[in-house]
Amino acid sequence: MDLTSPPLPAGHAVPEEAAGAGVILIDSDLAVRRDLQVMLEANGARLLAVSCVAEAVELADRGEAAVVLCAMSEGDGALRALAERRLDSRPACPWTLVALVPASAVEADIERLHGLADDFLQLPLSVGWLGARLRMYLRMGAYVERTQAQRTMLMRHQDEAEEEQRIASYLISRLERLDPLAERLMHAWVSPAHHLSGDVVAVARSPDDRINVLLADGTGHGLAAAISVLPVSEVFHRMTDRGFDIASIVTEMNRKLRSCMPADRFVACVAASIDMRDRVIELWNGGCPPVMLLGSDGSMERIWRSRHMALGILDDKDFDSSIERFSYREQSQLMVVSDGLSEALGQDGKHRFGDRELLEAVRGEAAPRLSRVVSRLQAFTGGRALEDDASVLLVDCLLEPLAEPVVETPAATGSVRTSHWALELRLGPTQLRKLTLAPFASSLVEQLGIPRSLRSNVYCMLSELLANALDYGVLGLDPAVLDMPGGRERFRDDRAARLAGLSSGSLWIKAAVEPFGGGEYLQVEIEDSGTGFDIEGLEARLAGLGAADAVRRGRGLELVRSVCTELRFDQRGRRVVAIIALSAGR
Amino acid sequence: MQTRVSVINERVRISLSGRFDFNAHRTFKSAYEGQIGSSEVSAIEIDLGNVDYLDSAALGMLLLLRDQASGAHKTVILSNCRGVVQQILDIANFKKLFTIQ
Repeated sequence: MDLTSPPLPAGHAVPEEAAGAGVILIDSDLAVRRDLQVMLEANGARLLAVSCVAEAVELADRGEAAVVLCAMSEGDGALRALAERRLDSRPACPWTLVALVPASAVEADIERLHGLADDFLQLPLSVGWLGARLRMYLRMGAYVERTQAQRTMLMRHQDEAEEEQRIASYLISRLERLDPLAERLMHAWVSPAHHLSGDVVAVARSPDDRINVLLADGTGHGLAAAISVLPVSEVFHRMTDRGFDIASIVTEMNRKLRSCMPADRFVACVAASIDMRDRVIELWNGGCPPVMLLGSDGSMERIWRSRHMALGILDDKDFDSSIERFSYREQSQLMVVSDGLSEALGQDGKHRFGDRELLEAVRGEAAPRLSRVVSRLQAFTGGRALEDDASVLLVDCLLEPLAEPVVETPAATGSVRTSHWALELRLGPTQLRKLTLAPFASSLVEQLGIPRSLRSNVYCMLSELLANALDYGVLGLDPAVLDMPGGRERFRDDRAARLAGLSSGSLWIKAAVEPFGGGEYLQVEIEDSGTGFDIEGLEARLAGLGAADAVRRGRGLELVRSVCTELRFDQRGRRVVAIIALSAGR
Repeated sequence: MQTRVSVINERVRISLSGRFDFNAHRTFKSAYEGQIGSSEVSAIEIDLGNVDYLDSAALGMLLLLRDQASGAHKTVILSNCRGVVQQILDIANFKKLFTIQ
């Protein structure tokens, strides 16, 4: 090999960039080795001795050499061996393979070696030329190293994100609770923008058979959004199970989110309650697109625009839990959507799906309505992925509650359980001040072990009679106030004030299951410490209020009479006895 | 999203243009961060006149700005809201928290 090196210029400065860099030379010519060593040292690099190709690759892979120079004086065998071994190795740091080609090499020779080496240096070399190339190799190596480190980091992040999503999906799926009866009324489509959805839709049945509806849309999408809607979903199910109303449920959701989420995270939410006995919908919309009630032909019967801020933004004192109430007359469908649907961008990249497209899609009979909305959305977007989580929830609003499937149990077929029982409790002023009637009544129903098919009736009876005993008995409130303008608010304020200041008075409750005539009966007795009240007058007044207002008092005494086998008031209304058949007698 | 900051007396106007979404987080924050601590600034105006769209993450950023600004006794004003931006702010009921001009 013709490797001649010009003498080093006087006062040659060693470049810092290549200082200490290890270089390997594969060449058997000692003269070449000596000359190259001089030039490398002049550039601050050092020549490492190796005995074979395998050792060269091993050293380079360990990061001890940044460059391997391979002479072509004895053919391309060594270069090919180096290239092959490098393909199989996993270097700690990337290294550069350079072929040293003789001055006589022509383009065809270089072409033949294409793909084997990273670079080709034609001999003879000079100190300056070699130094420049060496620095370039080191810079490239450092660049590749950084890129590889970033790639490794990205892959690790991706693995972690996928693992977190897998666990979160599992947790979320475990928290979902299904009520088969409520599910029959629900038609939902949820399209997550990422693996996890920040939109949650749910329906649940309260102890008095109201169907509660939830659509919650957390800020953003993906894991962060999915996590932020979890407390909302948990509160919704827990408080629905215990019979709380929508205003109480959204207040608690807001309190919980406000206490645990950062200032820039919130949850837009629609919470509604459908009472199919009285055909009344109560709805709260905070930050969601308009909710619509659709008639059987898809015409819009009612619209509920967002009147509130989303959950998790306002403090308790500023939070407005007021609901909007609507009485429906015909079988309808409540439609709730998230902004990911109404703001979905069209194929033209300009127009958004919006209310107009939605209203056109829902027109027509109810049965295929959901699929019509989804098809129209997909046609509108041209099938492109949505930027945000999108959901549509349709809930049937029937004219009567769905009947609980009859489960054939020994009790239902008329046989008598041999063990009967009684429960008795007295609530004094301390307990009454803290009492929240709906969950108290639902927990009593739970404790009494009432069959699921009868829970709604027993809950209605208990909640109504307990409320009467407390409000008109112990607290001595005047039901006539309800008839006055603004009476409901005044009644509520009076009630809260008297309850807070309650220092005497009590409620006595006794519940017993007794066999009678071959059947089984639940008998509930409630006695209050009040002075009694005009029960006939109260019944007449509540009956005159109409369905929407009677909701304030649960189902009303009229309904209690309809679910009881017997209902009688004694001692001027201070004591009431209600009997409900748990299983039919002979 | 692009931002442009101008100062008129004690009011700082941050004009936004383009799409105001999660990707604008850093840009938006760096536009207002310096103004929060300034004693010469009493109000921060976010000019949304050239914003094509804003998502819920952008609403969150505005809430965060409001939070920090109120801690420094400064008011936040949203200005030139129109079209889809106005609709989104209406649905979110931001008029209850922000001065909207």
